[in-house]
Amino acid sequence: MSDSKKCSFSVLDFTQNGIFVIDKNYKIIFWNKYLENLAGIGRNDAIGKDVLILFPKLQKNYYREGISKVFENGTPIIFSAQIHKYIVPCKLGSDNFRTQHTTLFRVLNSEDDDHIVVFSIQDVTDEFLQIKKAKELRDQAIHEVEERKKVEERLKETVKELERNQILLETKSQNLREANRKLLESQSILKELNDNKDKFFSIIGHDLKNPIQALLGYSDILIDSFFELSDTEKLEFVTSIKKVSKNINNLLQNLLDWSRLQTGRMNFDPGMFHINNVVDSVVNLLLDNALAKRIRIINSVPTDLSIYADNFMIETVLRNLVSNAIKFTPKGGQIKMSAFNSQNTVEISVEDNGVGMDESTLHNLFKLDKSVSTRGTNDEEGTGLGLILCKELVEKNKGEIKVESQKGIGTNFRLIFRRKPTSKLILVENNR
Amino acid sequence: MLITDKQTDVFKELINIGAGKSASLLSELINAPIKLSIPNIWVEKVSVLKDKFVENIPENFSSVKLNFEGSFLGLAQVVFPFESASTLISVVTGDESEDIDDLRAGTLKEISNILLNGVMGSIGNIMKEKFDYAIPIYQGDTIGNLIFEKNNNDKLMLYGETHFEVDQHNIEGNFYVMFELTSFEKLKSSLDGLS
Repeated sequence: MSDSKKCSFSVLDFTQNGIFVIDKNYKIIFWNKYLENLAGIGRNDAIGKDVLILFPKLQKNYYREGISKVFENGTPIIFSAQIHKYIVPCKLGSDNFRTQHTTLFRVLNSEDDDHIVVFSIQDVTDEFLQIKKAKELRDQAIHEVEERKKVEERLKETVKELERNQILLETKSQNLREANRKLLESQSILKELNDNKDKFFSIIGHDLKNPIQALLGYSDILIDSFFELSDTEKLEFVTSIKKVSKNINNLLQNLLDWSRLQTGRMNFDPGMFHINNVVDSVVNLLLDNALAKRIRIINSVPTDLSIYADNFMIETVLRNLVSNAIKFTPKGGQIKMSAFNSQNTVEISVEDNGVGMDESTLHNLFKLDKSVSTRGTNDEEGTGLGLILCKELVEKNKGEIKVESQKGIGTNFRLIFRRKPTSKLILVENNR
Repeated sequence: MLITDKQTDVFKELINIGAGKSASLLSELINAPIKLSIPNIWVEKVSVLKDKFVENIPENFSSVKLNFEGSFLGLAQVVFPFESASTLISVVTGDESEDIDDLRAGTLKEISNILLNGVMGSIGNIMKEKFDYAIPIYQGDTIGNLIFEKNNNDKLMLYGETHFEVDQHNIEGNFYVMFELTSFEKLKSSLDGLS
């Protein structure tokens, strides 16, 4: 673009840029065809016009100084699209103008050797719109990605919250199940306690009241008719009083034992002892009763056989079982007491050939709430408490009580105990 | 010795004044202080300097180049690291895009042209020389390819380089002014005339 290179305007009609040229007086001296179409201003309407009047925007200092410098120094000037938007206003739609990148440079006019300035206008509207659209799409994509991330974050947070709630719910549910289990346990215990209470009152109210009333009756007769009664009759009444008193004593003893056991006040002192000694003691205690019914008691328990249990409790159990056996064995019957050992256990048996029991009685034998007192073969009275006490005492000693019976044939009570204490028990005992 | 120390000093001062004018224009444009370093001056063959630049600075750069003719042949150039160029455009236009599309390149061309006019205007005024300028060109490339013309490998040239920084916006760049050897003797006498 040396001054030596002179410009021929006619070729500028064939460029794809809008081009117009001004002389040193700022008059337009060339207006190319492309610009005619772009700006909608015909060549004849533009040529000869003052560029500052045709395009008032150029009257601003920044543009005027720029154009002036191009004339003076020959330094090209650029009015970029982003900063200036346009130099020649070309309508785009009703409200907008086309975007232009304009370069101004100085050349020497071939006709008069004066400097002229060329405005080269590159229409970049399409690029501008494309870039704008691309940026919008990019921004939209970025926005969508960000939104998606936010949604994902929220989703993750929700899932975490749900998981936390689930854990909380599971914990609550577990607590509820545990509370329910405890409630059921409490209910069961309460029911048992209630049953015990009912039974206790039943015994007090009925089983104890009846014999005491009998005692009062016999006593009244003796007092009221003492001098009218013969000695034989008096003896009969006194014998009856003794019999009833004995029953009351038995009952009270069992009641006391059972009560102590229930309230945890019964002393539990397990140890090794010979069964035969205990059986002997029980037989001696109940021998009178057995003889009264001419019942034969056979003690075939080996003398050297020992078990690990509480001596007093086992004696109570055996006393009740033998007493029951006497009660339900007819005159002239037989009660056999035996024992044998297996590998780790010892089994004690109290077997009679008495009246026996049916299935229903057997089934409810150890149940406090179902237990019913049955009179003996000699009209002996009872409470049904004895067997329940037996079961609890046996279990307290880690033993087992089993019963086999056949109506009219007899009954066999079997007690199964450990031969020796378990190591854990020994340890506990030693620590004590 | 192709150029005396005195001539070097005069040329350095010339570049310094030109770059100072340009830095002042840039400071006005973006309303921020500019730090300008002392110019470096070399007289070397294109191929020698090119290798040195390519080796040292491998990143991509954006450049606007202004070729000039007249009493002397040469070019003035402003070169930015790509990120600096993009930041400069954003600071001037408010457009926060990171890439340099055609529109943003046009903006960089306008800004850089103002700076190059500042450099060359000052140099021309002091030397009392008129230059004929070509239309400024925008290029994005490695610095070696941007500064040194491909076909000029054997040409001996006088190079002036000044580094500038805009701390406030994290922008940096270099001004380069290069004169070809063909006009070297005339240039030397012109520099002698200024001393």
